[in-house]
Amino acid sequence: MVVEDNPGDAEIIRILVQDEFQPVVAETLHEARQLLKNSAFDVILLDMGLPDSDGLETVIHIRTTAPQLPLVVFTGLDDKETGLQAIRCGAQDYIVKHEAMKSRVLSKILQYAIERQEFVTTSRKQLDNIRIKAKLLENVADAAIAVDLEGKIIYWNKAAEALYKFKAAEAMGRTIASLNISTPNPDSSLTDLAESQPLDGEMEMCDKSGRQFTVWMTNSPVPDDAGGVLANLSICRDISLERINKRLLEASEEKFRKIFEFSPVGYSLSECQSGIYLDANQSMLDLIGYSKNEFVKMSFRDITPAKYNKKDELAALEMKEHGYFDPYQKEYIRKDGTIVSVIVSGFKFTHIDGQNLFWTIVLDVSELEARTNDLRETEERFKTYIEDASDVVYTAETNGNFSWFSPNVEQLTGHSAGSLIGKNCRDLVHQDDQANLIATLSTARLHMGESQSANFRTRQKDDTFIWTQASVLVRKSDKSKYVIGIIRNIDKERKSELQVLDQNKRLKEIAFIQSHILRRPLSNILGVLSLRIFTENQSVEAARFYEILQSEANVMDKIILEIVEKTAMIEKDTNLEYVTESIENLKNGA
Amino acid sequence: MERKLNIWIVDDDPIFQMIFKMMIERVNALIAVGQFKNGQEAIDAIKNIGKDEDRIPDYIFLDINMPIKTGWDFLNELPAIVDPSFIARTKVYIVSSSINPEDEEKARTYSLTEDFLIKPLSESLIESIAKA
Repeated sequence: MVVEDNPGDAEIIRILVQDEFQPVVAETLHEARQLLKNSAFDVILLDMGLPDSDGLETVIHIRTTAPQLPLVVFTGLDDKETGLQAIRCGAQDYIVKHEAMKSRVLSKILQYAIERQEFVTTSRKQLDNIRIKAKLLENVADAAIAVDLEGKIIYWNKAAEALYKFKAAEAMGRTIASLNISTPNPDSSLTDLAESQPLDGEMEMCDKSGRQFTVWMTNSPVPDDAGGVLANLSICRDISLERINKRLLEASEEKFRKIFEFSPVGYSLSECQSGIYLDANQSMLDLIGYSKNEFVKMSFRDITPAKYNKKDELAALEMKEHGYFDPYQKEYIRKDGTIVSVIVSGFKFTHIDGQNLFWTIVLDVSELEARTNDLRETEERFKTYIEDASDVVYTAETNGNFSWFSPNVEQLTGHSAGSLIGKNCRDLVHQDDQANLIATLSTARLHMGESQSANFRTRQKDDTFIWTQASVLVRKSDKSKYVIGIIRNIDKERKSELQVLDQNKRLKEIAFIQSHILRRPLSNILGVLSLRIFTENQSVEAARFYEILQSEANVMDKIILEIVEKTAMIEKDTNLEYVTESIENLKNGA
Repeated sequence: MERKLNIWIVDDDPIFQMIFKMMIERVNALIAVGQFKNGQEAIDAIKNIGKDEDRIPDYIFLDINMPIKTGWDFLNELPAIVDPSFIARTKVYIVSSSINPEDEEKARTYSLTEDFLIKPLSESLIESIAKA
């Protein structure tokens, strides 16, 4: 487009450039603007003096309307200053109008202007591109530092500011060493960035305030167009926190490793598909007697008796479905062929490498089982004892309400054990023994843990009574007290005792009667002798015979007394109190 | 005139009766001895005494085992047929050849009985009684 208000000049220009261009002429600024809006042009040739605009103002107007189009302005003779001003206002070139009209150089000038503008546009685009990239780099989370070949910092982004606490303005142009941000570590290669190709890796750094931290540094050379190295760009990421976390994780792993190693419970790690063991702790190895090297070649199937295959399969199915299997009891075969009883449970998980593994937790219960068996045997024995014993065992509340009876109570009383539960002991005891019962119970309550014993008549189902000996013991369990006791049938003993008593009594009576019969004449003889009526006026010899007779009669009397006393002793051998009490009880109860 | 001491023997054994009477008489010839073969005879005699205080016995030596009426029976019946003055005056001794302590205990349950004596009776005992 040629902006020229002089039609003659415009015609000359048209002729001058017509070989290379197809000029369109605008005579005013207004016209030029209209044209620029509606059509595309390659270059503008502008006469600054127009009817509606003059001088640099015209350049500015055109540039405003078409900022990208190459622009060449005409200047007057020796008006170099105006041309330069025009260039500053955005024109690509200027030409003295008088000279332009005479030469064929105009086309060339226009051509250059176009090229120059193209270069500028391209450059600007490139620059924008670089700016965007710089902006990206500026805003990345990692610190980005670039040093030139002399080791001077030429780039320092925001993250670098944040990390090292140096402002970009402070850092630019200085060397890394002068910032003193790398700790004196032989591995640290940041100081040597300029000299050699630094390695990527962890590096100990410190910031302006002296805080030390670890960074992961990635270094990359920035190439120039000629294939050389322009600068080195280091990207630094603070990994202190990650490091701490890693250490915590390691510590945690260590801890769990220790739990695993030192746990009294056996742990084994297996591969899901094959069941092959991958690892086991010492407890597990001790349990089955294999070394770890031997163990890790085997599968759980190798150390399991065949009868547990089904159980194991079920557990495997359960684990497949739920991710774990509930504890169950099984056995393992030890290396020495012996069997160990265990309870196993387990869960599966996916390892980092995608392998499906499962842990088995193994608890040795052989000892527990042995103890349980012992206990069971003891219980059996006790049960047998209780069941076979004629003694009835019972428990009751302290108020005397029965809470349990051994089954043999039915043999003793005719009442079934169940029917007596909840009944009070008074219901079972004879009316006349109630006081004795209450006294025994209260003594037992007073002397807890001491057994008290007493004899009661116990009511049978047919309402007859049998003599029983009941022992009562009050015990304390947790919070409540309870009574435990034994009832023994002493009816037969009692009856035979009474029989013996009766026999003794009769024997005694016989003894007394016999003695009475014997003593009656004897006492008469002694009485007569004591009268001494026959000793008077008798010879000494006869008197001596009377004396002998008297002493012999006395001996006889003593013998009779002794016999009677010894007979009566039989009675003393039996417990007199007991006998008396029994007789009294019998009388009362009859 | 001093009243004669009145002593009764209730015993079914005639030999004991004889020995006892001789013993008493050897100690004190003035003592009147009444002899009865069983409890019934003694009861009858008591009933015949009536108001005659001189005939009330000072001592009764009573055997236990006797036919018709035993010593126990006699003791049981006695309070019902005599005045309180009789009870106050008469001392009853049980005399038996039994050495059964039960008899002795039983004898002590009667307030009327003075003591339980076992045969043979010693002369010193008779003396202490007769001379009192």
